[in-house]
Amino acid sequence: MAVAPDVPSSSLPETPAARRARAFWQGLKELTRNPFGAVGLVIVVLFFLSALFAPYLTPYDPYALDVPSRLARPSFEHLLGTDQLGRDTFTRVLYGGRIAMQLALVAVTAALVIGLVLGMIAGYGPRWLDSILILVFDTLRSFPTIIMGLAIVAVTQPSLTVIMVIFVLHAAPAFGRIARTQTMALKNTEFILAEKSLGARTPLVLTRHMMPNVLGPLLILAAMDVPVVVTVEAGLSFLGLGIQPPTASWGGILKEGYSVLRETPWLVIAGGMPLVLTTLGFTFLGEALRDSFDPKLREAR
Amino acid sequence: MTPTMTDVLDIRKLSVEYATARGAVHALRDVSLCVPRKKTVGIVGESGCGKSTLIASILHLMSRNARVPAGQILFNGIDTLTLGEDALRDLRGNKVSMVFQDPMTAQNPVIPIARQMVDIQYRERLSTEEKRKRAVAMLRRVGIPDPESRIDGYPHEFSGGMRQRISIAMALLVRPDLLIADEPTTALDVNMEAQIIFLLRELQQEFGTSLLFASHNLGLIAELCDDVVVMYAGEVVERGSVRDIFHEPQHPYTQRLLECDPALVKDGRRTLPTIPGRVPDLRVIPEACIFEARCHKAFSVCRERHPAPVEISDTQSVRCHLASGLTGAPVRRAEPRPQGGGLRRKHAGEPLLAVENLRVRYRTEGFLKALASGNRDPFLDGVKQVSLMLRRGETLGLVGESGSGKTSLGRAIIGLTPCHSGSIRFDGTELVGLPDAEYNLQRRKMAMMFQDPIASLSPRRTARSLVMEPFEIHGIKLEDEDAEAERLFAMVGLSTAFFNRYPHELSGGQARRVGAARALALSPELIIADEPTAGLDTSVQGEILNLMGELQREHGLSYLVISHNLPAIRHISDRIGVMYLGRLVEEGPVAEIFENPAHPYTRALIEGTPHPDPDRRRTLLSIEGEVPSLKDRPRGCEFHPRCPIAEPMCSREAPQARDIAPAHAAACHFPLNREHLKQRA
Repeated sequence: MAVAPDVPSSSLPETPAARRARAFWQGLKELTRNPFGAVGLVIVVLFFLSALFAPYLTPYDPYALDVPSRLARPSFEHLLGTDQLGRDTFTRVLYGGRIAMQLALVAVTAALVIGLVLGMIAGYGPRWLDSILILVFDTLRSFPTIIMGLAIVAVTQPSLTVIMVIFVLHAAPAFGRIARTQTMALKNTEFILAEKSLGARTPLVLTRHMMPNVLGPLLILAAMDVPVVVTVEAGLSFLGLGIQPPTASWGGILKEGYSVLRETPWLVIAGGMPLVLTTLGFTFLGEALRDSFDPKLREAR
Repeated sequence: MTPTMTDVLDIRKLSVEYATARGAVHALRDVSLCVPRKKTVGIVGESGCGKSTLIASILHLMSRNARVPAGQILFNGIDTLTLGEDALRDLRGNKVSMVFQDPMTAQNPVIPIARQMVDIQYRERLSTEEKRKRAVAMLRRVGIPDPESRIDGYPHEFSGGMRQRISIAMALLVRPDLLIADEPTTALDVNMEAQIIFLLRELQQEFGTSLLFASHNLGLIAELCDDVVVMYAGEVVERGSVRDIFHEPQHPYTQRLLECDPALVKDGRRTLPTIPGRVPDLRVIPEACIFEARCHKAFSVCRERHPAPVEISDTQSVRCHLASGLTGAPVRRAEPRPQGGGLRRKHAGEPLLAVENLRVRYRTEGFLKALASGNRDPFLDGVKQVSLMLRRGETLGLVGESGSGKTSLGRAIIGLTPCHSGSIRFDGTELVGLPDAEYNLQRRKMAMMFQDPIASLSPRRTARSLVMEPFEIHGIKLEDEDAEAERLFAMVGLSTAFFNRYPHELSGGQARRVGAARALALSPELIIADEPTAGLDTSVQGEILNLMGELQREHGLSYLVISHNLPAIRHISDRIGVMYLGRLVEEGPVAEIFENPAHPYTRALIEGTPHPDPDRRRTLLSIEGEVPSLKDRPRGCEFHPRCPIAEPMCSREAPQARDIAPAHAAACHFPLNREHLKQRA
């Protein structure tokens, strides 16, 4: 071979796995350099840990009634006091977090996947299909979430699944819109044409070459959507259309606290604080993620 | 030091650093240059050599992480580095103005040209009416037709070449002392480039403005400049008058750069000189001469000491130990030029690809919309009745301005664009109308190399998986994937260390090699290369062209090369096809076409290529105007509105292609230099 091999500066080739690991830690470092990102990350980690290990973090049963000590003030025995049936509020907040986590994981993932698939079909497929999907997206977006929720719950029984469906209907169009725009921008890029010129079939082009490039912004949106789903649940539960008692949920605790607000503020505080915290946590994290992913917002490095 | 008032710009020992997460990049070191009043100074060098940083530093337009540890930038005797933001604003767009590389993004897309041109005269005490008049006059001066009405248009209503003219008009409207042009023609076609260069040359003389012109195109520097500054890796390695640099280059880098230019190598040999290696990482600056690692004339002293600039005449200075007579023991270095082997085959094989009367149409309006507006023919012909033939082992070069249908033709052959009518026979199989499954079988035997080396690679895949992907797509099981990957990488001159690189971690040349390896994976017979040298430095262009030639010899490949880089295409092609408005207007053997073009358009393209020789400056523009819109094809011969030798007949009757000489055909009523034919016609 007359052409001299071009040797890169670093002699040891890294495996793709090692590179991804390095990229992950570098990204994490970048993220925590931003104070909001660091705070957001801490809150989000605490949220997941407390939900996962709820049974080990409290000696109480969230459903055990103890009517004599009802509406107790916070003490060492009951960190956040008790509700009108004497159940330990702190325990119920922890268990409510489990509901919130399920919603966050399942509903947001479902919305992301559905939005991604439909959005990519709209962006890549024929024009008429695009028009139909966009019409569906816009129609769904035009309903206020709670009103849509009320309508759905009116014809079904309130349950966790119904809340998830409501959220997916509300959030998937937003994911779809972004996925569609990204797909359309990628459709005529040279690397996609290059794949086609090799004879690659559409499913391969879409899954392997388009999807990784479409996914980034969607993940950021997903992080910012977690507080939305938690508040949707809380809102519906507050209206009595969400999680049904005696299951503990943050919205449920708020609703119960509201009815005894004249006697004690603690239930409302206990139900509201985690909502505020997770909202802030995920929003901070989402924004920090966006900043560190978007090269235009990043200072020159 | 007293400021010399003869120099508009005098940069003294300037250094610029960029702070990055991985250490400071010493982008400019000890750079000195001056721009005398009413003169044109060219800056030349490969990409990454600091041309753009230098230009940005003059007006403090550097990115925020830049620092200037030393030096002075004297503009009319005032050091701009000491000026505050207000004083700088007073210089920008007033005493100094700029023309940027990309005309498509240099103007605000949502404001009409008139408003933008009136606004930049905000310092003048004139009424809006008068400002507008001045703007119209300037647009007329730069060659915008019908400026009174077109001035109210938006930037997107103008072509790239027109927009660059508008940029120049805006820059000159404020009567600057210094005009800075950063690669102003890189995004344009040969003809447009020639027009812009002529315009700059004329206007510079007319307005007496000094011009600082950065380019990697040596031909343009030779055409336009009085003095030349050669930059390498953030240093000025040589400066002198344009004749010093082009006729007696002293620095080995300058010499190599000139040798590399495909326009200088005229003979038919296929191996082009290159500069091995590449611009070093500027985080750690060695004690040695910065060019030592790539220098073919290096001596031991070059490794030990950094050379200082040496004045070798009144006009020329060079930063090289050789000039001061310091040598020491020569460093043995293999001669980088691969020797021999560049012979052209005498005969080509049987036909591999035969295109007959091919037509590619694009829809301009949707079906319903066209019906509603009564448009009976909502189509454009991207490729119109093209016939050509490519034999095994042969290279056919397709040239023409943008919009001539070269790329459409290439894409139609490989099935990326549907054909409307005609026939494409490839290796005995008719491709037009072939069902997808069978088309895919044929597709294994052809591959395409795309224009942008990096953007044509899927950004989240590693080089290895990209190169191996063709096997996967066509369901070919390999016994030993690693061995195959290694073989393909070695074939294009890449080591296995590149396996896990992502496209953005590759240089343009390396990415081009990965693209080539990918194209070669299935051992194709035909490779369609769309602008294989676009966006690459001259030195790297040679490398890629050499590689293509070598692969052709080893594997008997046939190439269809699409390019508007005529010097490059001249080196690798056996035959040339010239396209205009979707038609093939001339076709013939490469030597015939270049030495004896028959079609005036071909001659114009050839003459439009600048020569890297300051004594051979063009005095006449070979061709005026730009490619007409496909929507509005001229009647008769489609080239007649731009043709310098058009006669009344040309506007009435479309010429048919006819043989001018053996294997040389042209579609022209009055082919050039062929008196006997002309008389018969």
